[in-house]
Amino acid sequence: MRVLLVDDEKELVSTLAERLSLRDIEADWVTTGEAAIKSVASKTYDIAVLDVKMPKISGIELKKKLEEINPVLKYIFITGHGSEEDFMTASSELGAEYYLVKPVNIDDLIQKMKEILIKKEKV
Amino acid sequence: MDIDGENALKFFGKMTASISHELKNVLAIINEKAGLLEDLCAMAEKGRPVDPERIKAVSEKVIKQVQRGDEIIRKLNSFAHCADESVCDVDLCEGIKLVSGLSGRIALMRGISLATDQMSAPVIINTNPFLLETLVWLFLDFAMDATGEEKTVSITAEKQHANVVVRFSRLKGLAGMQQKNFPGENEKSLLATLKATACIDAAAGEVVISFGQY
Repeated sequence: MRVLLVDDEKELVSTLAERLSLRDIEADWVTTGEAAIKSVASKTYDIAVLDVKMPKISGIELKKKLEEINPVLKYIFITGHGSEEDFMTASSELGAEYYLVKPVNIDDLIQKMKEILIKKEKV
Repeated sequence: MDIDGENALKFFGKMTASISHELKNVLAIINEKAGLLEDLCAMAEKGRPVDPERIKAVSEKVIKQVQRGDEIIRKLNSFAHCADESVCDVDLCEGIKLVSGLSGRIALMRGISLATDQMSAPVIINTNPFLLETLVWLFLDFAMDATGEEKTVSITAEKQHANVVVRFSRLKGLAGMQQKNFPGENEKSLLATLKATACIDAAAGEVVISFGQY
């Protein structure tokens, strides 16, 4: 499984990538939308994990741009919204099937990644 | 509720929402660092040696995030206490630095830098602190849209003759925004309540709020 993590909080995204790597998940990380676009253009990923709120480009806008480069890429959104309910409301606008609220539980994240891959394989 | 009260409440909501997002990020980082320490301990238990320097580095980053969280909460506490008194002596420089600090993440999301480092001596006025900060925020919000390519808003407070002024400068994009209705009804109401006036100088790239008779 190849995963790209995108969040403007470097300490968050780099540590999460390291922890995923310790669990044998190939995880790259970037802190800007521009870097994410470059990464997806140069490497094939199964899943992109996107922060909803980032400087210059939101996770939702970034998803649209990444879809043009890699139409089969799947997405998990991570949000700093105060509660899951808040994000549930917002997610209907995002079209986000998978999302997690910060602070993220790594086991929940991996579980969602597995669900996505199983669904992808079935398709 | 009157228009000033509505604006103050919206300002309060905007700032606390932004702060809660920032605190969520701090907690998320601490959560990952703690998780990494657990992972390293689990590896050590399985006989894979862990470099103590690695543990030390992770711990230092946790401490850094705790300090970051503490600074955010300190700002939030100062902000909350602005509503304690309806009228009191206020240091405009401190007020501007507080609004700027609270707006830091909002500015970052818009790719804007806020410069408040040119203020040194206190500039005291007697006013309603919360409404004053609401007014500063509304003007800052406008100024952030007017930076042009420079993407920086410089904010200062100074005494000028009998007046005290708050100056938003380096607004290179102001000239192209002359059609925009600013100050609008919200700003005009607060200006009247706080006995202040506003002046937009598109050529100089400045917006100035002036408080009279100080």
